[in-house]
Amino acid sequence: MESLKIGIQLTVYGMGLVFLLLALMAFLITMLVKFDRSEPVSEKPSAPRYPAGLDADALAAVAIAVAMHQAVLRKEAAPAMRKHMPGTLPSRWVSVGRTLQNSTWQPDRRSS
Amino acid sequence: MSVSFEQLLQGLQNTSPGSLLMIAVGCLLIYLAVVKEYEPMLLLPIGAGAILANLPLSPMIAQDGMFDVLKKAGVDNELFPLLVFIGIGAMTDFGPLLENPRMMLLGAAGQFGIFGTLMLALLLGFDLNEAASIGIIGAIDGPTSIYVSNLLAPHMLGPIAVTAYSYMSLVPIIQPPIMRALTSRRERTIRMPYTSRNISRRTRIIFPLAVIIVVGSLVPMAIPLIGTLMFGNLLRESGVVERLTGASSNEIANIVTLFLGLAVGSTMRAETFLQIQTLAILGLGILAFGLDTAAGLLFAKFLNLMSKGRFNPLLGAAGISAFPMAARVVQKVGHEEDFENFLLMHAMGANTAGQIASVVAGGVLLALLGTH
Repeated sequence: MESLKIGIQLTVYGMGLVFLLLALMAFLITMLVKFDRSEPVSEKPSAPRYPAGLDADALAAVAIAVAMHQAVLRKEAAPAMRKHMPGTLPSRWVSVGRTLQNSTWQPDRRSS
Repeated sequence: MSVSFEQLLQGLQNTSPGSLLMIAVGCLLIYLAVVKEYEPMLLLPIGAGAILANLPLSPMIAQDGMFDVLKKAGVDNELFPLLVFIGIGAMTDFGPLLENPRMMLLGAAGQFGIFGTLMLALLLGFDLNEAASIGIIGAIDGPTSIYVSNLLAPHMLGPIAVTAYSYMSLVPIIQPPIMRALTSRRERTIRMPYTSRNISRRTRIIFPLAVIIVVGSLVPMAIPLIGTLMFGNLLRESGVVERLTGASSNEIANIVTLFLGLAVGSTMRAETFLQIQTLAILGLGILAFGLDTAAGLLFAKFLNLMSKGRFNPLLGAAGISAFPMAARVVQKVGHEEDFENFLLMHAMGANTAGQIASVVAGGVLLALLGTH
């Protein structure tokens, strides 16, 4: 009976202490995770570097001009602007080649 | 110089039925390791150690023999189990536990087997230190069992280590019937959502340090166990010592496991092992496993009650130290009832909590018994 009493005492103290310690650790982990939340990496824009002699407004104007020029080029390349459908006209190289095929390299007999 | 025929046969002449029986036990352990693949990393060296130590006039167990040297070098001074703990810490990812800290409580509940078995052992007539050593089988943690039993009852080290490791491999057989008996089908099918919480590297590094400081300050007897476990984890999570992490979890852990197995096997001598108390240890050991599982399940049922039916009680069975077997068993039993229920990561959290809890319980037990 005495040994059972000791056993019960050990169980109560032991399990109590184990629960207490692990509950404390659970609390600590909760706090740790709460206060150490991984913050989203904020990608701060680096300080703009302007080419020498240009300020932000001039740079913006250049950028707009470049964009407009690209738009014009794009429009010129559009099907509506073309006189011939793509592939219907041979390139210059092909034209020269065909011309050469039509003329012979041998001397003209009639002239001799 | 004359050589007598008797000298050549002195090995056979010194063979006893007890040593033959122990050689058979060693062969059985090797059979379990090789054929059944029950914890082969430990049972194979233990079995070989038992055979080599029980061969008649074995020089390996003589003073300064190999086993004597291994025992003095790493078992008597508790070095080997602690080195194994560094390896375990280096291999363990506590992330699932950090994501869900309340699982820590399941780890605590899963240690009831230690104290329940201690009470039963006391009732069976074992003295307090012996009963505590038998109870520690309920930690379901080999190195903890070896560490505690070697401090409290070194003469019972062999049977306790063999019982702990043998039953540990039987977790997939021991646990499911208890899990099904103590939970209803409806409880087993409870689905639990996962939180998408990111655990920062800083938290992962602070965690082992915090555990060492808190547990070490409150239970100094647990410092060797928790300190080495968490140190191994710190190596892993720091991310700056890849080679040390690799060495701890591979080379050191493997070498020490080999030495520990042989040294423990060599303590299984016929005169100490073949006693009625070994049978009692085997019986109480399986009871300890059952009590752990039952207590974990009942506590998880309580948590389910408190959370108004949102907590799957099966997770309680994972609050033991057998990692990752217990978590896999929980997933498997849950999966049998509901094919789309994935409890694995929750169970991993409870399982890692069980690892910490078993170490803490071992330290608490030593502190309560006033071992220095």
